Amino acid sequence: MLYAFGGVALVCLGLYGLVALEHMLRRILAVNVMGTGVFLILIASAARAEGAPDPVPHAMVLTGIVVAVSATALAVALACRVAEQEQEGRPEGEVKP
Amino acid sequence: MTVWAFDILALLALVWLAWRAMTARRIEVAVVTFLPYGLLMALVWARLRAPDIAIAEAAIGAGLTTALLIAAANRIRRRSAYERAADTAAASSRSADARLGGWGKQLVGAVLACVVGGLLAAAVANLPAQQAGLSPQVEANLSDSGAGNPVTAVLLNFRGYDTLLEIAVLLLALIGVMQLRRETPGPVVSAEQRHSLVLDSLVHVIVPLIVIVSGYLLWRGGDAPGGAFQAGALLAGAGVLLILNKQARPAWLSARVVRAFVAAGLLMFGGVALNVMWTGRNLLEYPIELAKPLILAIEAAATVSIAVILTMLFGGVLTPHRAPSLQGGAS
Amino acid sequence: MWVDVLSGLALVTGLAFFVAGTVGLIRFPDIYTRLHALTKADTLGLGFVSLAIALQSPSIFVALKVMLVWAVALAAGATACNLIAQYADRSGLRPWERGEP
Repeated sequence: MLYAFGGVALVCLGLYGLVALEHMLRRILAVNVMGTGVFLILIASAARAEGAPDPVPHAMVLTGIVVAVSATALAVALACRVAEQEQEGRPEGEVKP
Repeated sequence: MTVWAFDILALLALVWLAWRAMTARRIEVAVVTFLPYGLLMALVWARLRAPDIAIAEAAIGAGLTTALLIAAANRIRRRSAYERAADTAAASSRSADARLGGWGKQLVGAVLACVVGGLLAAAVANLPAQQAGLSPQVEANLSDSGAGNPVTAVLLNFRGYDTLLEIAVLLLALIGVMQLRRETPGPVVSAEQRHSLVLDSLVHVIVPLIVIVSGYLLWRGGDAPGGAFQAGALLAGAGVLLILNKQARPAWLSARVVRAFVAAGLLMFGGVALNVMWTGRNLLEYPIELAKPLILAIEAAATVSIAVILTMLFGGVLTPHRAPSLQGGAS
Repeated sequence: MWVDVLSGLALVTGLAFFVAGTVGLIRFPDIYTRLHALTKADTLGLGFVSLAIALQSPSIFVALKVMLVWAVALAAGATACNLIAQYADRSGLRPWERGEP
């Protein structure tokens, strides 16, 4: 049960970071932190019963981890592209070696 | 008592690492902090009796996600001579405000986090203490599912839809990343990395070992923790190593064979899902006597697909340009 | 009984090496000395911890798997250390010398 509250703390932290941070990669990190917080709540609530934990949330979290990594990959590729386009948009004079 | 001490320490460390991963001054440090965060998370999963998730988290959450983020941080930095110059010249003046947004954003973020956190905490505190959830139903039908590991049974039989669509999501993400590659040949991105003999010899030993272990995970996944996702993620780790060691090239995605591998998982899964309908069953309702071989076939195809897709996602982020030789008619 | 004592001893020894490696990581002056402390002390510490786990394992196969994990961690740690040191050397970081801060 302790872990469920830990998950809540991680969700809050990630949400705050998502809104308050500026850097794109940091925001992607914040979303990932939020995701793990949600997984932690799910698994902690699956482990409440005595004996073997409920396998259905386990399967859902397993799916969630894979979906999270594919979303992260797409977000990261978008962030890179945005950063590159911003840099190319700058006038040449601004770029100093 | 000692277990409680571990729980509290682990949670405090998790929260601290999460905070560091978001707000460390240098983005490289922030990104690398995500690795110990993921590994500690894997330990927590093991502690919560979720070994399947622990393996997946260590391979995907810690390993692949961090590899993706490091590649992205490198790519953004490498192209920005502007930022590097500013970094060394005025590091102190930049760092103060580079991390967090203005007061308004911080306030909105804090209020949102407090509201959502309070609601969630209230919901968690009001959960009934002892509840078996769906595990009695799973256990009652486990013998008919064709898998001895309840998590595998849920993933590939009881809730096969989720897994089918998950593989589709992976494929979509890959298509998205590949669309973001650029037409221009561009500079050779990794010119500054030279070949390392030590890495070479490690790769020679460890890649075959990874292949064996992932085959083991796939086979054991029917009855013990493990399965297609863990095996595929592990293989993708080997793929990432090969890309970094320049023995595999991301441009290979254009090859037909690789594309066939990418599609194999979804085609096999979808094919099985539709084929069982010929005999008057519902979508994904396997005949009981064929359940085990069908699940194994789906898992084998899914493993290959997941491995290739995850590797290619990393390759697509690492090298943003299409290989000149394969460009052909593209304008 | 003596197996428990032996694995307990191995565990404590391993932890001592981990503590030494961590202190070195925090206290040493530059990247080369830190790598030295971290990789050497921690792989040995991990070896002792794996030995403790292997002694407690139910069958010889589990023990062998644990030792395999240690061997792989050894190889990966050594390679990572080499790569980091090589990169640091190439980017012009000079090793620390006595008398410097």
